[in-house]
This record gives sequence, C-alpha cells and structure tokens, in this order.
Amino acid sequence: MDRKKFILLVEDNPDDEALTMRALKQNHIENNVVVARDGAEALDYLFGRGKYAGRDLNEMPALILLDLKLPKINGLEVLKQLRANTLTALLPVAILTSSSEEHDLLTGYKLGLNSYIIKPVDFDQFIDAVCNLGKYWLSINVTPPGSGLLK
Amino acid sequence: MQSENCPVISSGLCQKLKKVLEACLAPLYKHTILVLSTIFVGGALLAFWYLSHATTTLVQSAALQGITMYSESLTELRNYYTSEVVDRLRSSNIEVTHDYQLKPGAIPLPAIFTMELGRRISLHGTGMRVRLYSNYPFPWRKDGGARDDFERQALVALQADPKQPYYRFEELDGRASLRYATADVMHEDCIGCHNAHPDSPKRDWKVGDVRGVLEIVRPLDVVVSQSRADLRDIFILFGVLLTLGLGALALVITRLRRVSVELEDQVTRRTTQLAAANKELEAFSYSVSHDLRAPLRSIDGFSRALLDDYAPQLDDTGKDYLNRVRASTQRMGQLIDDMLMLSRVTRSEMNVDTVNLSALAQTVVDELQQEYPERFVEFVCTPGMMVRGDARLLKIVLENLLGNAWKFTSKREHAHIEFGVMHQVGASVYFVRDNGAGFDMAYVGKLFSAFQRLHAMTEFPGTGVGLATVQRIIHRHGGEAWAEGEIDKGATFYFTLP
Repeated sequence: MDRKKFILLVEDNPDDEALTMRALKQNHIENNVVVARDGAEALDYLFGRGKYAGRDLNEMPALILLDLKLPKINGLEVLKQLRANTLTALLPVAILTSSSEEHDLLTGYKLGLNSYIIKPVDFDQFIDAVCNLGKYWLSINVTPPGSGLLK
Repeated sequence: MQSENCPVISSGLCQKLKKVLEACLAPLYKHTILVLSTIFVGGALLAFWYLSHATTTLVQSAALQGITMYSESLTELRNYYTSEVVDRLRSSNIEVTHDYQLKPGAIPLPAIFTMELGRRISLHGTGMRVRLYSNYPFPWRKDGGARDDFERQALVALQADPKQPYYRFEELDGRASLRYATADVMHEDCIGCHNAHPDSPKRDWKVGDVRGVLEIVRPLDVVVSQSRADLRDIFILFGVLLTLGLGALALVITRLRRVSVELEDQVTRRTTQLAAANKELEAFSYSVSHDLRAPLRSIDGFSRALLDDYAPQLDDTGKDYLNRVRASTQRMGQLIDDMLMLSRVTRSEMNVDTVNLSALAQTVVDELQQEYPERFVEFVCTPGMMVRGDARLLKIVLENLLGNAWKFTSKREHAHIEFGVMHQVGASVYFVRDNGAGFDMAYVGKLFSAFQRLHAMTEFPGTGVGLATVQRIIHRHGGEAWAEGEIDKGATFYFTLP
C-alpha cells in the first residue's frame, strides 16, 4: 500500500500558484500537488478527458483547492459538474479565493462545498492558512472510500 | 407594527382580517368609476323617490286643508241660512219647501239651499261637487241615500264619531279625487221642522243626531299631473347634472390613472436603471475584491520570499525597505476590505427585526477583550435597549463605535466606555462615550467622511472608513448620527433610530 494522498490545485494566476506552492513546500507537501490552470483543465483531469485521456481514474485527489475566478469554466461551475458526477461527487473541495462575496459563499455551500478560504493579503497569514489546510485535509480528515489515493 | 395596531387581537388574526378587507376593497378600487356611478345613480333614485313621496304628501295635505275650509264654509252658511233666514221668514208665512222654484214666494229648504249652492259652484268647471245624503232621505230625493262604498262607509263612520271628518283619496269617475265627508248634525233650529214636516221619514230627531252626510269631492288629477310634470323636469335636470358630474369625475379619474400609470412606468424604468447600476457596482466591487487583492498578495508574498530566501544578500536597509513594502501592501489590503464593507453596507438588503442593542454591545466588547486580552477597560452598558433594525448592520455600527472607543482609550490608565440611551421628546438618543483621546470640535464636520482621519497612523491605526460606515447604516435606518468631543477628555458618539 504505497499510496500517498495528493492535492489538485486549480489556479490560473502563476504568481498565486508559485506562492501557494511555496506555502505548501514550507509545510512539506509540495510533492503531492497536481496543478490545473483553468476550470476546463481541472475537469479534463478529473474525468480523464482531453490531454488526460487514459489517466487511471482510481487516482483521485484527497482535496481540490479551487480558485473562483478561472478562465473558460469558473470555480463554481467546476464544483457543480463535480457534484453532478458520481465519480467525483464525494471529493472534498475547498475554494481558495480572494473574494469574500456573500453570494459566492452561499452558492458554493449550496452546491456541496466543503470549505471556503479567503486568501489573506498578508503572506504570513497565507502560510498559516495553507499549513492548517494541509494538516487537516491530508492528515486529520478521513476521505470517502475509493477517492483521494495516489499509487 | 401590526401587533401595535391591534393590541388585543393576536397579530395573526389581525393580518387575516386585513387581508379579507383588502380583498373586498380591491375590486372597488379597480372599478372606481363603476362604483361611483352606482352610488350616484342609487342616490339619485332614492332622492327622486323621496321627492315624489314628499310631493304627493304635499298635494294631499294642501287639498285636505282647502276642502276642510270649503266644507266648514258650506256648513256655516247653511247654519246661518237656517237660523237667520228660514226661521225669521217662517213666521211671516213664507213657505220653505224643496220645490221652491215651482211656488212663487217660496224659499228653499236649508238642505236644498246647500245642494243648489254646490251645484252652482260645480258649474265653474273645477270639477268640485257637493252632495248630501242620508239614511233617512226625504221622499222627493231619488238619490238621497248612500250610492257607493265610500258613502256607506262615511255614514257608518260619522254616525260613530260625528266630529271626525271621514275622507279618502280615491279614483272617482276616472279622476283622482279627494272625497271629504262631514256629519250633518241636527241643531235646535232644525229639529222642530224635521220632526213636524209631513214628508219627514223620521220624526224623533234629537239635537246632536247625525241627520246625514255632507260630502265634497275635489278632483286632484290636474294638480297631480302638474306636480308629476314638475317632478319629471326636476328629474331630467338632476339626470343631466348627474351625467355631467359623473362624466367629469370619470375624466379626472381616467387622467389620474394615466398619470399613475406614467409614474409607475417611470418608477419601473428608474428601478431597472438603478438595478443595472447596482449590478454594475456589484461587478465592480467583486472585481476590486478579487483582482485588486491578487497583485497585493503577490507583492507581499514575494517580498516575504525575498526576505526568507535572500536574507544573507540583503543588508538591514534592504530588509527594512522590504518590510515597508509589506506593511504598505497589508494596509492597502485593509483599505480595500474597508471600502468594500462601506459599499456593501449601502447595497445590502435590510432585514428589519427587533434587536437587543445591549446584548449586541456586550458581544462586541467581549470580542474586543478576547482580541486584546492585555487591555483593562471598564464597560458600562444600560441593559435592555431594544430597537427595530437590521441586526447585522447594527452590529457593524457598534463594532465601529465601541472599536473606536476601545482604540482611542488605549493610552488611558483607567479606560472607561459607556453605552446608554437618553429618552428625549420624539426620539431615543443612543450614545457611546469614552474617556479617550477625544478630538477637536473644529474638525467635527470631517469626522463622518470616508478616509478622513484626525489622528496620525503612528498614534492610532485605522483607515478612516469606520464612522462613514456608521453614518450610512444609521441613515439607512432613517436615523441621525453625530459626535461631541474634546481633545484628551474623550468623545461621545450619538445616534438615533426611529
């Protein structure tokens, strides 16, 4: 059973990606991250389509970190499609965004969101947030059977 | 507010009643012209009925009065003739007989006198008739007895009560008429003759006996038709006036309706415009919140990365500069957050409910104490301050006012904050008072403007948005906010909630 839990990071901003990766690295989880640069790519990855055709669909992330404002397909739409598919319906999804719009929060949770994190401007706080996230979702939380395992 | 209007009945029942009433009134409001027309026409018919009734009564009472006088005159004339003429002449051997016209030198019997007088009057063409009849007519009179129902009834009624005239309004020979009958009562002057006359059918008359009936018939058809014609004219005039009035009313209502429809259209248009503007503003603030913060995060994040990864290459000045960059980005982040809050306070929907301000203030102070456990602040709060408002927005007000008081008393050894209420005529004035840094009243006008600060950042931190937010929230509740202060003596912030 040499399986490691991994995170799918959906982020279009390369700066944010670099900073998130840096924060993850400081918390020693940077090797277990798959990055998708927009909503469409995230869906392709999860459903094994497009350039991810033929991917082993038994390998599902333990957590999806989803930005809201994404090119092509936005975060809430990605979430909606994940919840509508039995393959991904139970995957834990955390929205990681700069926006604290009440509307997004409500819609997110209505769609079956697991967590909503507002990226602080202060990088120190950001590192703290990512640390807590990693600890909670990769160590403390128990994921549903058949998901979130990487061979 | 509902329950205040109906203190006894439960507010649910009250609302149900109100709904039923509204449902009943709604069609009335919708068809105003129809309803008004019905009311007016109904009123006109009622007025016309009353007028016609009143006219009939008037005609009848006038006729009755006239006929009474006429009857009294005839009776009086006959009595006068009997006592002053007949009696005197009888002693001079002048014959008093029913066929006086056939006998020279003879004069008529009083009854014949009355009948002849009546006959002559009837020749004037008024249709007026006079008739005498009796249960005991003299044999020479062929129609001296009762001929119809009225005459029979009159004889019976007047025999029972001779003093009360008997009359009826009825159709006679095809004409609406008043028939008026009075008793022909035996007087002393008459008795001798009646009991002695050879042809008299009854010879035991006593004074006060009812000898017969004097009936006067007065046709009313001319008067009635005249009054009907007058009524018809009045009705036509009334109808024309009513139609004109209703027409004018309909015109006014139609015009008003058109104006209200125009206004409604205008409101709809404006609302749509406003909604569009609001949506645009929302999109703008969304993009501010998302897009403006992202680069700030990058600046701060990479500055920290520089400090972390390249510390050996940087001297202290370099590190200081980077720290300044980070402090500024964080401050800008704070400014963006505050700006967004200010705009949200104005846009968000209000959920008005009963709010316990005292409990809310205690929660805010408890949160402040948790955040600054090292501070010791004496907080005094009037208990049970209940208001109507949006709990979420009012909490923002208290967070700002109590937060300010907390902040500006930070240099006091004995910090004191008070939250209370003064009941004045027409309004309750709530206040937050502190013994902190205070402010110069010369700048009180700038206090509630966004991004205006009266203290240096190094002295007291802040973005200058808090009081602007407070004022907007209080204004949205329809209240007022103002402040008083003195440098180094503390400040008091007041607000009202209607």
